Amino acid sequence: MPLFSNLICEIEEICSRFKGSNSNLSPKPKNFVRLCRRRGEFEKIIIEAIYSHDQDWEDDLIDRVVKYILDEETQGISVYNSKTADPFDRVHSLAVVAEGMSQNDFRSHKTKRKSGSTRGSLIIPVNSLPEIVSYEFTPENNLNFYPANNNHFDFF
Amino acid sequence: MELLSLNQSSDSVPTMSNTAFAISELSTLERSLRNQTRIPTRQAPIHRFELQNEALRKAFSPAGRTTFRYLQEEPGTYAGRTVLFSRLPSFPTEIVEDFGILSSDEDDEDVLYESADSLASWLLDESGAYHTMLAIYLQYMPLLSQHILLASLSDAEFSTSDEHMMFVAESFLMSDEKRLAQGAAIFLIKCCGPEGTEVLQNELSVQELPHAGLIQGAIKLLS
Repeated sequence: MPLFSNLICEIEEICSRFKGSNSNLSPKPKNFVRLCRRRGEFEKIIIEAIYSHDQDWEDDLIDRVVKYILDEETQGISVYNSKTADPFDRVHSLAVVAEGMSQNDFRSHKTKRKSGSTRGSLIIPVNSLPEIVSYEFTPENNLNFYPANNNHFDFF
Repeated sequence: MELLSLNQSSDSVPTMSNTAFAISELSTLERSLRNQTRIPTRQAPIHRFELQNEALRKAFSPAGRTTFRYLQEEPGTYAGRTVLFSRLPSFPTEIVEDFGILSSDEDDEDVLYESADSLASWLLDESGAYHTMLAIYLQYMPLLSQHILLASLSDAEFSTSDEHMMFVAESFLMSDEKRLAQGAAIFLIKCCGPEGTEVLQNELSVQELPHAGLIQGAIKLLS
């Protein structure tokens, strides 16, 4: 029965997703979303990248990208695979929630949102990545926030 | 009454209810700010009668902003026509400590952001009376702290209609430091409502700003 076999395949795929990392089942990435915790810094970086008269990035700008967008990490840089570049993309929303949940502030008993809780999102088309950047499907590195696990990657 | 200087070291900053600002020192401090030099950490107390309307005008008011308020223990004994006296609220101890860090030589941005975030979170629940005081402190912080405090306030979705806050942010638009100039533009757009955007547009039209291109970029990106 073709319908039954399809159902079995579907169940197998879902079960294997729950088992954790399996690069064979990783979604084919189209865009990566990177969350920046310091929105004020993020906005200035974007403005300078777009509107600066200098063709080459100044060292100061590169330093700020490393500090505020890459969190001074040189590998294992957490990103999420988004099918579209739309800021209302479902994965984009999941990424924002997952990144927020991973912060200690989320777990505190504050009654109001803290000032550092706003985020900037950088959407990076995969075909724009330089050759030196590699990425790997790493659902296990997403602190087990399941809906976003299946879209979590690390840059290396 | 003896007036104490604004720029005291953090371990001796008094509560503001018992303190007034050294207005006659402000024009000197303003010159120091323009020269991008650091403010002395301690200044000699001055007497109330040294208050000068001219110094006040230079420090805060290019166009008739004369409503800034100061303390006075003996109301009516000062002859100035445009200075109003009233009691100012106190800063909590932890907030005074945050101001101390932001006014220090600290250059670790994470440390400065921690104090700025704390101050911004506290300020969200407080009245506009504090906004004017914040404007004073902000004016005399190191450039890095000025930029970081404005960024924290913007991220906290702080909102103000205080004309002194807007005036200080407006003055930062002329800064050579591009992060500060952009931060001031972002602050005016995000935190000061339509009036802030109007101030920004006006400043762009009448002044030749060192980073006008980036400020216009901020308007395009955020408005």
